[in-house]
Amino acid sequence: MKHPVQKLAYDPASHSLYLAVGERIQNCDGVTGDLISEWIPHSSDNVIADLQEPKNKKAKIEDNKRNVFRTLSCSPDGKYVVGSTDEEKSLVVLNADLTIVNIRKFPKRPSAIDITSDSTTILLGDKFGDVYAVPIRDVTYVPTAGLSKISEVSESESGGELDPILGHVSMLVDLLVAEDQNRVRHIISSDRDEHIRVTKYPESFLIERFCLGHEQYVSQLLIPSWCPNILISGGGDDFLAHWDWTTGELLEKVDIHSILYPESDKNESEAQEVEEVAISGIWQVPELQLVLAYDETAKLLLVFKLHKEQRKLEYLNEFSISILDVAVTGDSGKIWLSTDANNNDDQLIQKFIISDKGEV
Amino acid sequence: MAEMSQSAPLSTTVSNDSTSGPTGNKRKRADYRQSQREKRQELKTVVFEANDISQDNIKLPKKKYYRQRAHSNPFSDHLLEYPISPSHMDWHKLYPALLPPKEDESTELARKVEIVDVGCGFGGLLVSLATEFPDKLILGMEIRVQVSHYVEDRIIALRQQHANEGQYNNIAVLRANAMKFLPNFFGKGQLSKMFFCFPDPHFKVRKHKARIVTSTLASEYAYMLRPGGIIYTITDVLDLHQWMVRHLESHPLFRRLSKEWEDDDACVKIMRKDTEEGKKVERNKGDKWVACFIRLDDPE
Repeated sequence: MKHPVQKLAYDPASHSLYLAVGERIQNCDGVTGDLISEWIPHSSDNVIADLQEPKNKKAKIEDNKRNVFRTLSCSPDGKYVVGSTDEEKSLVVLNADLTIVNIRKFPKRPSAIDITSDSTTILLGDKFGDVYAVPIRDVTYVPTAGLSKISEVSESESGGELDPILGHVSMLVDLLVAEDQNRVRHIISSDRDEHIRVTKYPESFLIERFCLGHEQYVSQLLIPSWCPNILISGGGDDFLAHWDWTTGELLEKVDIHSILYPESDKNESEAQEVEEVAISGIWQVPELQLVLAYDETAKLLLVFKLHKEQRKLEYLNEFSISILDVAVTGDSGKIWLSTDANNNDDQLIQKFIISDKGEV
Repeated sequence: MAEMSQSAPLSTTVSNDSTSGPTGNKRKRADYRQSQREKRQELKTVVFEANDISQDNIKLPKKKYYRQRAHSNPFSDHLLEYPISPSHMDWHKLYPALLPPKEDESTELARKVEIVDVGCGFGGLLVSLATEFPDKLILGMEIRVQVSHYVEDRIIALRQQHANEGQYNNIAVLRANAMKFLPNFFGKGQLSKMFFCFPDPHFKVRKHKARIVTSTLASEYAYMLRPGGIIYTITDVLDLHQWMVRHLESHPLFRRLSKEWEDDDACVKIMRKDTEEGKKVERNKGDKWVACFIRLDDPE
């Protein structure tokens, strides 16, 4: 049974497709899908910046627990591939050719990462709700366990302890670095308690506003590159929320429950259980101004067109497919999907072309 | 109404002995709670008219019927209700005498809650603030069920007893998890004062994240407070006092106010004297540590 590819990342400049397969990262040709090289973790890797565990805690790494990658991203300049793992709570930075740059360990399991547009800094959110900012190469900072030892570390030069730059009180589920129309940078972060928070960056002590309106957890955030003031969010709600994040205004709630379950009778509680919505991915196809959203309960990939002027999200089409992640090449609608393989014959990654009408 | 048999004389102190039979204190407590619950449901949103002699005088609640464990885990999901956003909240039901019903709201509320007591306990501070700031809406937030019921009952009784003067209509209590959900209740820059009186110290280092004042929460408080707004803190635990001072002083949007300022301010006096916890500390001859902070303007 082959291990499916749980995360995909694409660098358009070099046409490289990166795959996170279990504990490994693979580099494939973005056009053909052929495997070029692979990174496998091993103990002789330069493991730097181990966290300071309290002395009475023993290391819990068991031999048969796999340190699987949960997130994977390419830096915008295409030089680095970054991923975070669950078991060892580590952040791995690799060069584009998959040689190791550094590995940093964090006190809590990282749940979301994003990289700034100048490719200098990685933002990492963890399951505690804290967000850290670390330089992509420099490892002199050691993350603390989110417990501010402010009295002992007054400035960062006194030994390199890293404090969270901002925090939610509940688990951080997704985060993005964004720029508004004045090129002022912000962080948009969402948590398990339905909050979407817009904070200034790097002045992360300044909360600009909240985008409130979700009634269930928010698992995915997307800022479409052709509408940088717009935020699309989804998770456990029956709708996708379409916001202007620079004002906090909820522009529309796009009902997806009726798309996923067109004949459902909402009064039947039995139906309601099976018909829960769980958005596990929202992606953009910028060259066609499309937004894709995947619901993992119904296993349907939905295609929408985002109309910039009218500020409307228009539903186009849907596909029944079992996928884990999508990588968009940015080249005339070509996208890579990583399928949830059920038997050895299935290809793990498949290439599709989306038309501007949303057909595949 | 339940009947009590004549088997044992009722003791004056409430016993926690759960093996006492259906007669006696346990039954009395249960009955009291039931009748209070019914009264509360009915009277929570009632506006008491002045000079209304038809009302039976509502008695102030007795604390012994509202026993509850002192600690509550702020991270767990207590099945609390909270609004999707501040504009979704029906504030009329908390301040029925002062705010129009939600359906009648043509525009945004002219009056909004300005003063919040985070962790209001048994309501001592709220009650004193009510008459100190009669024109402002004041909200207490309390996570513990029984304690919040006690405060609700206390407010109902006070509103009725002082219906002639129209007092205590400007205070209300909400059972809520302030750590998680304050942004759901209050908009940016809405508040002018926030009180943190004798908060749970969470002594163990691994529990420090549960403290109500941390660097990350300070940013949320800064969001809700208008520039010039004040955070008031008081505690009898020196370590907690130093922790709160450290975290708020190091936050770029707060500056600590001087002792001279504290000595001049009416709210500091009330905070020292009028909370139940404060009175307990007095009785035990403990220390009270005060720290107040002003919310600065946003940097340009």
